[in-house]
Amino acid sequence: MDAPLEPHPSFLMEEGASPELSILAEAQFDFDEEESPLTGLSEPAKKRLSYPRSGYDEQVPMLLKREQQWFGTIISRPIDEDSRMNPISPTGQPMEEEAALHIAPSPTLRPAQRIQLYNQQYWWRLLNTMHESFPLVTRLFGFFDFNRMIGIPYLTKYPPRHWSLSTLGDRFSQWCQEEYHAPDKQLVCQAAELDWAFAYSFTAHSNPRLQLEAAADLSSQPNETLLAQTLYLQPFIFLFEFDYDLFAFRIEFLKQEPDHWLHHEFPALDSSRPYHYILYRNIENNISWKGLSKCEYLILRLFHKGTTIEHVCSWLEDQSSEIIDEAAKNLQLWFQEWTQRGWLSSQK
Amino acid sequence: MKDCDNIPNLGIGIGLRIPHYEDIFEKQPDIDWFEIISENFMVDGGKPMDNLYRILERYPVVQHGVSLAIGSPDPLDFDYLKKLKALTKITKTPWVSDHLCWGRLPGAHYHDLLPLPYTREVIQYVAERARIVQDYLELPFALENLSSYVAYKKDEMTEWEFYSTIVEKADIYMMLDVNNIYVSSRNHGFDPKVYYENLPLERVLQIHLAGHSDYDAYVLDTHDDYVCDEVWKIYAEVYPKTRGVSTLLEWDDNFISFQQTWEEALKAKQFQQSIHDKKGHEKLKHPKKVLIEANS
Repeated sequence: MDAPLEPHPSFLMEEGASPELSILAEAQFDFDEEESPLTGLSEPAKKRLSYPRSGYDEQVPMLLKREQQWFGTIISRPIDEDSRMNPISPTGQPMEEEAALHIAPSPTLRPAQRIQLYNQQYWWRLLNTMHESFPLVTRLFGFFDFNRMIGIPYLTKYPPRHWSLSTLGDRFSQWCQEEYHAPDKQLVCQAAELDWAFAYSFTAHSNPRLQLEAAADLSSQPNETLLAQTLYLQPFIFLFEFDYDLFAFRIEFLKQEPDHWLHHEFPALDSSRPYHYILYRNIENNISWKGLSKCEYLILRLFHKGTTIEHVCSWLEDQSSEIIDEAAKNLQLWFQEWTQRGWLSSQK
Repeated sequence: MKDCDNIPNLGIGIGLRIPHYEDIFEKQPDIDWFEIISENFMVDGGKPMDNLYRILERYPVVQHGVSLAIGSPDPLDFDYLKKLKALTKITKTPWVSDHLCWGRLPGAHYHDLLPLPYTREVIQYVAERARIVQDYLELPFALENLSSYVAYKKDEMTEWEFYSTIVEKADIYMMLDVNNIYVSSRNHGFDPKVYYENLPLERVLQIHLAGHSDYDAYVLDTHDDYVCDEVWKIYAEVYPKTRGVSTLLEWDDNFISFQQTWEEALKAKQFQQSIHDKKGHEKLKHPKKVLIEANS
């Protein structure tokens, strides 16, 4: 292994506003004078490396806790574009020196080189998970720019807190809204929402389906109970309204590896009209999607929040004649289809 | 003293991974058993559970976890343990294993198997938690030795002393990864033989085999290659001393075909022969039969 720990300009430029510090802020770290191994450091340095004081097992040995706090802080700081660890520690010391206080050398590696392996593994694992969870967004940028502009900043602001890696992207759409400000913001945010819908729906909970007989009732003798019953869409269902056909765009994009698109023109994005889609799990639990008319989309959106058939009917009275006509023609069939596909449930 | 007399030997298994589903469902190969990563099935619903139920119809399944992070400084996560236990009721796993590591701080999860400092205080802390986990799960619980890349300045003992003392103090079992012994021996410069000769091998309830990536100055536990000769050598020496335990090949990246994976796992048989000859054991019973007997 070569010696990869010389100072890197990108880190030096960020001094004072290092993104890694937001990890500490996010976890509401709080400096503890008695427990801190930082006695003797300047006040700004202490503030930069403060440790959480709550949420610990009462039995945890102090030495273990301190080593873990140090280790966790070091390995979760962003690596640079060449996957190297930040050569300056959070306290401002060279990492070579600080690592040697905690880590023993091996016959072949210095302490800083050894902990760098964990720093790299941390980021590579998380970034790989992001690539898998957000395949369209990854392709919009390519691996390198995705990691630099999107993945690392997101995971720095919202580091993982849950034992399941499948939750890693649960605040990514929010992050895009908050932090991504390029001209293609709308496309990137919607791509993030769409990718997340695929990822979330895969293992989302499902409620007992509304029985088929209920849909049949509606055509012959609608019973009062059903009409007044609040119905919901299944938790694995997502509804989308786009100014372009993002689903078709995604299908084309995913046919190639992310970096293919660095050297090829993006697939065409059909923006001739608004598109409405539903993403769901089919009876075999595979992810599926289907185009909707605006009317069907609007009604399903009501069920998404929870509504009764009675309320849908009175809501329709206030809509345009176009919507009313379409609903009058199709509502019965739609309701049967939604029931057959298991989209509706009486449980929230 | 705890030993593995009541733990069934399921034979040779492989880690259940998505790229192999098609082969398994279509060909229903004659595999002794599968190991699942528990967390992959601790989900609210969807395809993963459908797949698991299909596997359970035909094969014994053992649960192996990666997220318990038993040595973390925050309290044990009983929401996690509750889900883990619920899954054991579905899989009927004969035991549960995870790693001797840490991986969380309050408010942060590192999604890695991070090594612990080898100190007496840490032994006490982890052993107590391991005992709680085993009691809560109401199943034999085993901790696996790590592949590690750092050693702490504050270490007071060797890894094998640390590992042995914890399992004995907690009265739990060992999930012994012989590839991890090799990887760590290279990264820390110890003799693997000294490692396994100083373990209470009667507590081993399962052995892991895997491949790794060798970068000369260090070795990474990548599970993406064939088991190397040095690891087979360790296995050949350890296995007879365990009185015969379930053996599993982990292959998690750069996948080869299902058939090739199974053939790689089956190589373990040639190293097991000596123990069965020596002890005059009957031929291994079908694993499902072993499980039924163990549960009855």
